[in-house]
Amino acid sequence: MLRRIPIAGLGLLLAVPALAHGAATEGDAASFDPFAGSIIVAAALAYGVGLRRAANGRRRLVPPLRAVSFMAGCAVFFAALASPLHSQADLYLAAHMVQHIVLVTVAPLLVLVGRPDLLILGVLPRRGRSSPARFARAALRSPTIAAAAHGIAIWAWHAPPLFDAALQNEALHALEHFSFVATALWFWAAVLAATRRASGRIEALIAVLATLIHGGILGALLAFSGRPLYPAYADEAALLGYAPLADQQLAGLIMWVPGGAFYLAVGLWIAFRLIGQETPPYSAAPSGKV
Amino acid sequence: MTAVRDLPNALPRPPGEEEALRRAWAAPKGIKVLSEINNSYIGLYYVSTAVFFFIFAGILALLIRAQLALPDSDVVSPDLYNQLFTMHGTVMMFLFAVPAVEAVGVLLLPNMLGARDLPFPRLSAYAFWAYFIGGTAFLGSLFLDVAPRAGWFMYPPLSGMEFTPDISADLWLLGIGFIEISAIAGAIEIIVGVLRTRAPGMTLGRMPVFGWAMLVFGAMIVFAFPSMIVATLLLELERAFDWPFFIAERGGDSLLWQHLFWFFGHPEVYIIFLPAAGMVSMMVPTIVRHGLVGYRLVVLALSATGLISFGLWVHHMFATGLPRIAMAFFSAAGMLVAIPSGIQVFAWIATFASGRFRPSAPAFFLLGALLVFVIGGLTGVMVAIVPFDQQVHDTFFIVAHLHYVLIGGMVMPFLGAIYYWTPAVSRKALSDRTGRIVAILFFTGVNVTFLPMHLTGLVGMPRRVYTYPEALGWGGLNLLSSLGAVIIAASVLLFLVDLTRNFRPTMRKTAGNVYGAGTLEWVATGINGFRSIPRVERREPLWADETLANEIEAGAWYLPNTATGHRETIVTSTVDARPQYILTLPGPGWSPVVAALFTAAFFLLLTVKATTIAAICGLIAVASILVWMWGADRGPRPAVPIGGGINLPIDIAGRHSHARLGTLVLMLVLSAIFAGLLFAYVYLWITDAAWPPAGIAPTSAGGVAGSALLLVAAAGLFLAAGRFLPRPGTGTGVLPSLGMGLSAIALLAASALDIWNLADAGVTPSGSAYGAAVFVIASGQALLALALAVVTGLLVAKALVGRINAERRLSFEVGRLLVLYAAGQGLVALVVIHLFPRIAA
Repeated sequence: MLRRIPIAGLGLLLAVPALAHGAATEGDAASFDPFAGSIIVAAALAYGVGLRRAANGRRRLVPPLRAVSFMAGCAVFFAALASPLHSQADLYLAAHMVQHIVLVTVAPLLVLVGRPDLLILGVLPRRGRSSPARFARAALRSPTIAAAAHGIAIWAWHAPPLFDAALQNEALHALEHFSFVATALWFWAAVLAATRRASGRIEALIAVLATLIHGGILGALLAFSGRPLYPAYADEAALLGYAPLADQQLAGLIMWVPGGAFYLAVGLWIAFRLIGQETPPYSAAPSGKV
Repeated sequence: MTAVRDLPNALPRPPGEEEALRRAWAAPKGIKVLSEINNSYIGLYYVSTAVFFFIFAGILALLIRAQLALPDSDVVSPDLYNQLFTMHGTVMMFLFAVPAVEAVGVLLLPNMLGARDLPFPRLSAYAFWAYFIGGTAFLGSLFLDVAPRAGWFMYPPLSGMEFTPDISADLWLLGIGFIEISAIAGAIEIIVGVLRTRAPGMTLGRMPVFGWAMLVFGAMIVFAFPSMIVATLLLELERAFDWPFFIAERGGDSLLWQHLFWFFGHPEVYIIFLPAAGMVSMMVPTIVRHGLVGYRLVVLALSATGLISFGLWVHHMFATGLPRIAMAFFSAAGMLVAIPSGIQVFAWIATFASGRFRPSAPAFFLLGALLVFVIGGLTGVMVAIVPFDQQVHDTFFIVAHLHYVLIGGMVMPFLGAIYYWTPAVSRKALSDRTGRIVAILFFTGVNVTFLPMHLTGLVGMPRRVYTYPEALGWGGLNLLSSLGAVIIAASVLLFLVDLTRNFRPTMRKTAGNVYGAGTLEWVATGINGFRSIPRVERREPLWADETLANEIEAGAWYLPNTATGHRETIVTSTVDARPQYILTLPGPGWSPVVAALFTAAFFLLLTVKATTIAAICGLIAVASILVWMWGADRGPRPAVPIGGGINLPIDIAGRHSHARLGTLVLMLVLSAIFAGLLFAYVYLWITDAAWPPAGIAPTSAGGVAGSALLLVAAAGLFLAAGRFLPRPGTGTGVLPSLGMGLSAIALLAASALDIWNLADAGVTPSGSAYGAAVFVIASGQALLALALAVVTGLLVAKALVGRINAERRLSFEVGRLLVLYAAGQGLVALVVIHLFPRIAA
């Protein structure tokens, strides 16, 4: 049963945001959530176990640097969900935005660079012949579909009524974070997988570019709105005595500029892979499938 | 390296083979040559037209400088002055800069890539003729005193009905909107051409840099131009039907225009610059006989510039009262773009330093361009600093900055490119000596004109004023600038003299590779380009292998014949360029010309509100496009050998078809237009709390559900139709035709039901910005449904006469993709229109 531990770890990791929120103490600047923290630690441990088991094979499945990346990703998830940032997010929209950006960019990408998928690959149905199974697999691997799902999650939750409802209701808030993290993991996994194939890089690049653009537009709308869009934060602002509009502008700009810079960097890395070298050997044989 | 290689096709070639190839590609004679759609012909027409517009807009600039040369001058009236600067900017940007680089792409790309033509020759013919006819008519407005006069970026409210009640603004909006469509058509053509028609073996890493530049150019047009189309559409709807998108009293916001315009306008600068930079990256290695230093970095820099440019539109709006914190972010981000531009400049300098410099006319232009562009870049960094920008905003400093950037970044490389590539298309090269004089004169003129202009701006002279009093002391600087303009004019005149004396376009006996370049365009001869299509193993194949040119010309490489008797080229895989199939291409025909003529007539007649004749012209345009689509998709045929033991099928359908890629790019364009409409909707909402305004009832949920069901049905019916396509030669296409027909009806009915639902709830497009934003989304969907109904009609007709079946299905597959897209867009539209106000209220 030891084999299953990494899967369980990944599952737990997915559940972190959902669970973490329930335990957060409101307004406590030094909130440290042992529950969320222990789940992330458990995920990291599970990954470590998987790594050891894989290392028993003939060749190393995941190089050390990638393992470090996974652990770093866990640490970033930890920092985003179980740290003062989390409690600040209840007070400032801008802090909440920083948390969201971290949850959908750096953290999942670092985790995925660690190739947790390799450790659980043997369990997934690889040869399902039924057309729904094939369709589901194609959808899971498609950067376009993943980007669309991720985009819908981001835009839908920023609709003021939903965003405000999530602020009032912890279960909804957990669902919000869960859908961000889950679709982000999906998006980055599909993008990374497509980038590993030479023929998938253009689609991966377009998916990243499209996300860069629509994320920027959403940030722009927050930054240029003439009024506060999220009443819950306006109330906090009245209590704490800061300008809600400035908070919202900062939040929009964080999403737009640093958030966009992250997608830009990944996009350029994909482009660099796409450009390729002058010299790789080539044979003029026609491709097998036409 | 004298070992005999295995060439794919044995020499000598059988008699008659070359003649058959030439016959398939022969251009018609006499007046019919205008119906030729091959890229070499269209490319030449295209470049010549662009140069003509350049000269025209240059003459306008001379008139401007004549007026400003002396204080209190009245060479032209204030109103004419407004028309002059508006037309100068508009023509230079929209009718010269973008089309000129696109034209060079059409002319040279296929030859650089080892293709015989672009993949959709009729599309580029259509794009060219639309541009030629529309652009010429647009110029004509100046002589009728109805030329646009609100500046090249047409800000409302100045360009709105209240302050520009005449047709001049409509002419700009419809004319430019229409030329944008032509640019998008060209971009789709270029993207597919670059990705799918490269010679076997020309992996992306071996593609000439100009190919990369044009790929980035095309991708940027796909994302940026739709924003401009949306902007012009909204303003025209406001002017023609009083839909108040930009009228503040009714919930509109004039800043919406600026956002849409600069979302296009900032990338536009790089859309112009990047192809020119690509040309420089082609010319510099030839001039110094050394491969480009940092090829991969240069290409990465091209891509980075393209990506970054989409995030920077706000820095054109520093003076519009944006949040201060936003300006801080964008001031920082704005400087970021200097990095990739710097990488390219340093790569050129390093290449110059690595090789042996040989002076020539193109080299003179490039050195001048480098200097001018760097100065423009430096003033660009200056205006990225907010306090500085607020000081010099709308002064002549900005005029100086943008001219340095555009002249150094595009005009001088373009002129150099004309000197450089003329021998590839003309019997004689241009005179190198004259070229050097032209370059020196031009460089001098530019600096005499625009260097003092920085000062003129710093001492406070605003742009777009028709005159100034002597007491302000701006006379000396302005006189100097006007003198410089005369020097530029002299150099352009000399350039024209050189063209007249030496430019003799020809297909067969070109002057050839006089500069000793290493890329394939120098081997291409004749309208078919290549006698045989080589396998490419290096970035500069002609340098790597000196015998290659002769082998190509002798027919020793791939496809030395015409396999079907039609024009053909080889389609290869996107990344590693493995040969996939033979694409047969259409020959000369009038349908693109007629379609372009009547599309132009349609838009121009709309500006003078001659709606009936406009409608008739529109119908003729649609009819001629249908005629051309009727002949498309000849159906797959069995594989034939192209040499070297490779057998390729002909004209395949399915996943690997180039037409599928073209359709996907078109879908990106459509979704970018749709995204622009959604942006307008949400932007108007964040600036106006009354959403919806009082007095509007909630829409009927049943109606929404009905529309949604109809959209799903439309998609399902079209998908089902694909399962019932008959085997070739068996039975008729009645069942699939029924499916497709019902699908089109469902798509239309969904839109009709939705519009009725909105009207029933009391939403009116002219009542408020809310109504306008909602209706523009709903009508956009309706228009798409209508267009697809026409497409479906064509497919039904094709299926009924047996031109579509289970194997010959390419046009069906294209239609299916578009219908699925339309159904998806319709569902998103329903969510936004009906769900959003419910939850936002």
